[in-house]
Amino acid sequence: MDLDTAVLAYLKGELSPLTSQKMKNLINTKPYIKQKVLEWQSYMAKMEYLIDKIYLVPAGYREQLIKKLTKKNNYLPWVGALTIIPGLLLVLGIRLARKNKAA
Amino acid sequence: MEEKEILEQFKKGQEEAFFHLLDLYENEVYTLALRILGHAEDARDASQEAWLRIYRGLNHFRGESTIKTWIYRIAFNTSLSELKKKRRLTSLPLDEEIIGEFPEEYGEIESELLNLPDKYRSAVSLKDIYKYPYEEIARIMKISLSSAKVLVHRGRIKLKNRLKEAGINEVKKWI
Repeated sequence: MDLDTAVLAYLKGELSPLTSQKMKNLINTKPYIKQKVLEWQSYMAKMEYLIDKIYLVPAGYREQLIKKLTKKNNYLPWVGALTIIPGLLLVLGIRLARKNKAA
Repeated sequence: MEEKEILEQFKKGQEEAFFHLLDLYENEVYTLALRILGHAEDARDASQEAWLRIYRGLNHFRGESTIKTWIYRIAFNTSLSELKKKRRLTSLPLDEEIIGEFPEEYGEIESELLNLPDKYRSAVSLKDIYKYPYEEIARIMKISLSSAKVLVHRGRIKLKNRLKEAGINEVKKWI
């Protein structure tokens, strides 16, 4: 585990109590580790800020989506029909051919 | 109206129930797409495509997760597919940096995130903003578990350093 990962795990409370205590001692005695802790704390606070940040959809979004939905809904049954009809005709043709052969 | 009720109504054929879902999650899905794609217009198209998929799939939703989780999963998958499609068209690899100008309304922190190379931006967003476990990130991004961990780790360090270099340290600058 590198130092960044260890510091983050410490801040998130993911270390065992013993390792966490060792980490705490290191932070108190090594200024460069303390600096890392401050940097990651700042990073985590910024991510927390982004969690709550939600942007509004642009103007005309809903109208455009409704258009797309309507287009798909009108189009899909035709696509379905065009795919199914040739298949049905083929099955019917095979059945008729078998019947004729049997006769 | 509660999600369960919305779902029941949609399954009964009352399609306006879908618009209640839109009211609830429209902005969240758009924001999520923006964070994956890093571009407002692409985010609009991808999030709308996600809603088309949600509309088509809603009748088959079996409630194995919450409806929000299901919607988010579709939105992530659609956005990542769009991202790959876009990168194929421009022949840019996923680790190529996007140097963009983002509207001021996004703020400095979001702009730094949006400017990260695609794969790091997606991985960091999934982990640190949307709190997905590594296993889920690997599944969504179609990469191995170890790759997901590496991407999140490197992405975090890149973003942390960028925020530091940009001098976005004091609380008053970004709140």
